[in-house]
Amino acid sequence: MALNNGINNNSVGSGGVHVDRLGNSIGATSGNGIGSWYKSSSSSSSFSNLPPELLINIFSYLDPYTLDILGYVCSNWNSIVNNNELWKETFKKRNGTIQFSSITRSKNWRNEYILREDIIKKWRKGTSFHQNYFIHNSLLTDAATDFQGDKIVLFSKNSGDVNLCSLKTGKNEAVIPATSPSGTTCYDLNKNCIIFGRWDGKVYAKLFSSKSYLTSLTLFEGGNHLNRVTSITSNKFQLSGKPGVVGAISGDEEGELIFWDLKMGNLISKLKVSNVSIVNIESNFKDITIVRDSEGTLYIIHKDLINYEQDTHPIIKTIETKTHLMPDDQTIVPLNQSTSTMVIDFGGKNIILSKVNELIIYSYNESSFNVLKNYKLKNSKDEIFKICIDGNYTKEYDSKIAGNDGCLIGLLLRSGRVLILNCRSQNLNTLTEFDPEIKQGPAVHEELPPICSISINACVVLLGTYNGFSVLHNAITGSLVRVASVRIPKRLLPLEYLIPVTCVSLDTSDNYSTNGIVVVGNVVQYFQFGEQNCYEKYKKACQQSATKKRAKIKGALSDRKFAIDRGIKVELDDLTYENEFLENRKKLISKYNGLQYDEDEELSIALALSESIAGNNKLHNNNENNDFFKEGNNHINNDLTEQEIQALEISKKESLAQLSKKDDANLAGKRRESESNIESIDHDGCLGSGFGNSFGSRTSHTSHPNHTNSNSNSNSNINRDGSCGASSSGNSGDDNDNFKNKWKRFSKKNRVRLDLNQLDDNNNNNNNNNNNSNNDSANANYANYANSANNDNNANSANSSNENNNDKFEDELAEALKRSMFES
Amino acid sequence: MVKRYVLVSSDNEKFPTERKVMEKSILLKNMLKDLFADDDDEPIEIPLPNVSSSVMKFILEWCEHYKDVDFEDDEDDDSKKSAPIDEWDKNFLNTDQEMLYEIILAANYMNIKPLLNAGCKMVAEMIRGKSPEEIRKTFNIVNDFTPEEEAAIRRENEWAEDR
Repeated sequence: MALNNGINNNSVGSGGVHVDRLGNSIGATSGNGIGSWYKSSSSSSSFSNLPPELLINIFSYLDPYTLDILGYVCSNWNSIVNNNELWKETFKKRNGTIQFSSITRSKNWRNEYILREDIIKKWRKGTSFHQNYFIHNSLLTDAATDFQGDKIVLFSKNSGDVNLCSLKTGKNEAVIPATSPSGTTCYDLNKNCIIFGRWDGKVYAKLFSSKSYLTSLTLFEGGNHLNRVTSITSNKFQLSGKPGVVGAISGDEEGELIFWDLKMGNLISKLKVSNVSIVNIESNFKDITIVRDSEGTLYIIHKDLINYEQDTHPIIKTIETKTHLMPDDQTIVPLNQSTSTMVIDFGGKNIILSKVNELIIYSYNESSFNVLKNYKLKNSKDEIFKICIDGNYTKEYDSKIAGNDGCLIGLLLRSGRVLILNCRSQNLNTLTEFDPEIKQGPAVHEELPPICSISINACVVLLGTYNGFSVLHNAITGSLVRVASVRIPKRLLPLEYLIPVTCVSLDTSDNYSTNGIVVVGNVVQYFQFGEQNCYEKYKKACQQSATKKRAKIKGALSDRKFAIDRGIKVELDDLTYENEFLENRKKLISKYNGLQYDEDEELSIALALSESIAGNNKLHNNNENNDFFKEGNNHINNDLTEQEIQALEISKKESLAQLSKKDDANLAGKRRESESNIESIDHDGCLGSGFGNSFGSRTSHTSHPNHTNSNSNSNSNINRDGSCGASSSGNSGDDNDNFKNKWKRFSKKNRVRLDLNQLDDNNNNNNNNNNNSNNDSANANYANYANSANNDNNANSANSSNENNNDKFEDELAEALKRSMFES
Repeated sequence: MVKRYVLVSSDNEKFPTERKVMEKSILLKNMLKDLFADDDDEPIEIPLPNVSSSVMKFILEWCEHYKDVDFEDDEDDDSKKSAPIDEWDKNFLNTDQEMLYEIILAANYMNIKPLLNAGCKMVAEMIRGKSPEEIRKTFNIVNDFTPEEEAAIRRENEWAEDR
């Protein structure tokens, strides 16, 4: 309207010859229309006098730096350049939307625009830094990150072990062995704790804040579920120290919820909400808990969880979704955050559910309760594979924030397509959808989803494919930002195998960070682009927005140099690893072809020969634990006549006498360790006592990477009972207990044997009976050990060198087994 | 189709036009829809007092060229406006500044989004990469800042200078 008035007011008077600003005569404008207006508007030129909305339209095609220059031109333009609307329009032109998740959470569009550009630039061009580290566990299945506290928690369902270490370097690794109790039906992992629900209704948890990682789980007291626990969640935000604060919620098969005090480990309250099993529980651990049962009913429970009052009954509202979201046969679904089919946007009060090819969003806002929005996939054959939500979901909704304070949802489809939606927008249109490029890695099998993990923040979406390869895309426009990962060195991850990226995670603590992790197999890769911890700087920049100052991120030169050095180091590592492997192989070949023996080996061969004579005498084998034994044991388990034993003992003593001098110091140290804690019995108990006096020095022959491997193997395998527990569901609980008991008996015997071993000189006095039982337990131990080496080798999909070494290792074990029979 | 619609410019020049061409302008489209839905054989004159005949010629030429192209009037779709200017538009709009200015105003008045956006893009192209002094010269803008004010702005915008 302003425009029309302007022209109407001015279009009076006669026409005339007009000369444009560059001095070219453009002739008479016909008639008396606008030409005259130029004259009447005297000194000021046409373009500077355009109505503001048109100027905004024009300026919105320009980049921020040109816009700042425009501010100098004249006062009118200057005021337009400082107008919020212009920046909103510019943002729209650039990113195609004005409904998105804000980075700055400010109302100033200029800040939002410029910071977004800056952060995307940092993602795109920032000096990259990558750090790989190997986690000594079985294949990792779950990870929880704490970027601010520089902590990562990794969990393996196969072994049941939890590893904690520094997120950025992988240092200070701590292992919590055998965490999962047998018969676990559900668990929840976050940076604070891991919590398990069992088939018998008991709930166990382990807090990571406690430093004593060797203590096992705490059993929650004060009551338990009457039947199988089907869903469990714990506070992933922060742990309050006050007693009486609800820190975990579990639900069972019959629809009963229990609120737990996580810190104290006791029951606060029970609440029956449904009659069927509970499938999902989500809570912000402040005032709201949302529960879904297997019939698809949603229960929204309003209850103050920080100051829990027993007397007041919580307000429960229900939404009937009328959809059985779970297939009928699957009442128990192992859930973790990334694959959960229910996501809650606590800030926008939305419940996001995913069906096979449909996304349904229910609002639980009071004003628009039970309002439904849904989004159907265009390709009806496709399926939703994973959902993720950006970190904005916990923050209070404020519609004035730039981008209408949206909250992004990333949908990963089975076909590999990625959709990004704003779950708070009215019409639920996709912001963007794209098929990420997959350049690296081996050809993906058709049935495997080409992309296996997804993580999103306000700025970018991170997608993980195979063998650690992961890409970053702009979360709003969908354009490729950069390849996030670098090749993981061969020594950590053999490339021949196709290993899916288990988990990717972006730093969602604030939107300014440009770092994240990729978890693949047993390797974690941490990456960051440009300088981190810029939050303060950006915050300052935001505060100074009135004066339009902007912080500059200095690309430190040293950073770049460091990155180059790192690249070289990775290559060098690979090279030394390869060399080492070749050398090792050469050694092995020459050794097992009988070309070279050292002193120790000659002795051991002599021993083995003498044993093989003994081995011919077969007597009955009264091994009670036969089923426990695998190959390589039965044929060694031969009993001997007393005479022969004595003869052999004598010959062995002679040989040992030579060696014991050499190894005394070494072994004494190891023994002391083995006394001190269980863990070192796992490691050194096996190696130190197993290889016995004669092998003490030889164990150090094994190449370094393998050596550490075997240590970790022994570690994870001793905890086998735990692993079975985690992977099995309710029914196998009894078996597990059985297994556990058996193992306990073994370890006890083993303990006894170790004690005996320490009394080397006294060993001869033991009677035959004792001898037998010792042998049994020792054999069991080795069998287990050998198996563990085998199994874990497979699990790790270890490279050929590992196998080679393993052969050698097994040979050594066989010898060691023989020896152990004669030791006493 | 019979040309029974006549556009009248501010200087009373008459432009008989096809309906299809006219409907490129949302203003005219809505007007026709609201007022002349029934088929009337009488030629209808539509006065456009804000548009001069020279500009009208331009605009009708543009509409004629695009009469078979469907522009989505969807609000969401003009998000994709960041695409470069169409080559034909670029040549078409490659006139002098005054005419461009008129076209932008008229397109805005007649609500022809694609033409308006193309015009704005042209102007933006003219601005891009110039110093404030050059911009003033190009568009004949008078610097109405006092030296103090200018110094103040310069101080505020210091960071932009070292890009």
